[in-house]
Amino acid sequence: MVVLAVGANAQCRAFTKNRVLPNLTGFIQNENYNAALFMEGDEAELLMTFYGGKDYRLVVMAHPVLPEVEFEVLDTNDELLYSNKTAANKNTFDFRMTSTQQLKVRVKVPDSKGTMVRQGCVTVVAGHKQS
Amino acid sequence: MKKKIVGWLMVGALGFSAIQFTSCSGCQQAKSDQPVMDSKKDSMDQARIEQLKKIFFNIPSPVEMASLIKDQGYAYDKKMLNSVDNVGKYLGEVKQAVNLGIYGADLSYASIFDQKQESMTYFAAAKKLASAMAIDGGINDSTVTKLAEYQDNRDSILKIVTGAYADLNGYLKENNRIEVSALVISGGWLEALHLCLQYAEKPKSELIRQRIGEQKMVLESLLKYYESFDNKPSLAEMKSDLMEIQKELNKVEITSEKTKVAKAADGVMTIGNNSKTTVKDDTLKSLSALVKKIRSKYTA
Repeated sequence: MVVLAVGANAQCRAFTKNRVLPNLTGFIQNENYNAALFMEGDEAELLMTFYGGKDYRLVVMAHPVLPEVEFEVLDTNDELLYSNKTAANKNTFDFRMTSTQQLKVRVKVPDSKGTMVRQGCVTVVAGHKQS
Repeated sequence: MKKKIVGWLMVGALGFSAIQFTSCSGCQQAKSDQPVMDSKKDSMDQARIEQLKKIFFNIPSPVEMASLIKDQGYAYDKKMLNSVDNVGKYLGEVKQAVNLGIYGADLSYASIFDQKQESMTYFAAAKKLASAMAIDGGINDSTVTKLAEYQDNRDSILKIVTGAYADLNGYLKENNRIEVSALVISGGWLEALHLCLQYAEKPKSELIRQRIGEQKMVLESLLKYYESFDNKPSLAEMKSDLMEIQKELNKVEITSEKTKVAKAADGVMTIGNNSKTTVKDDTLKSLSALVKKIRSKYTA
């Protein structure tokens, strides 16, 4: 089976710029770049520090060729704080930190159990609201 | 049934996509006739997981540190920054990458304080370094044009600056220069910490001191990220320096409670664990001396 390596990819940079970043309007983008080619069933986890007293927006998007991406926010004890499965807006999560803490963002492309393994970009961006 | 890989191509700025099929005929999976689900599990093998770890990484932006300084009512101080006159001195990828990050944090600081001319000067220095390193993403002439166009709008400037650095990091990651990206991010973090430390001994600096202490968490993430690179020689010096800083930051005491989720009056979800950070005076002093020493080594 020919499996293309996971990697940051020029396609993902264009996808991030054109499709993902417009969802961060009103927030200042973080300088980190988190986008890669995912296959169905792939998962990734980010450990992020968020400062108390700040408003943040997380945007998690997969290219439409992939099934709708699932993402969860957990604390470092793995307690689930948010899941986009039950959210009205599947791609963005706005929240306010009342104190500084590390949170995990877990991203998964569901397995469609189809006959083909689809591959596409998944991007995670974080932004904060400037005072 | 044979599995196929489906990829996609972005075509043009509209993001129009076309499906690219790569047939699996004759491939290993077909020969071994493994079940469909097994082949998917195989795809998430260790190499792929390790590669994802190198790409998916996040620490707070230096902008957030700089904006805290401004929010506390402190004044802009050019003397704290790494002079743009030094830019020509930086030879070798490690020093160039670290100083690209340092200039990025200085640029954020200047932008937060609405120092238009300084912002342009620091962006030019960053552009010079990026060019010397043959980095073609984010920090280029079109960004300079944008900066000039929006120079009277601080928030637009911040967006352009952070967007340019994010794009630069994206460029490095997609061109297999992830270690360089790690050094740029590290330089930015080091400079933001240095700037906060300059204000920590001023009156009414409790929140600044707290933010410095909270870097214990940020550095933990950064060093975990370094672990994914398996002792790459180009990262060895910075890793060792960061570990020295960690020794000092480990003296910071952080207490917390169970994470609580609630809804604020304006409907926004709130998250917090009531964490409290205590940084003792002697820790602050030794941390300050250490950061000064390490920063000087890279900026000299």
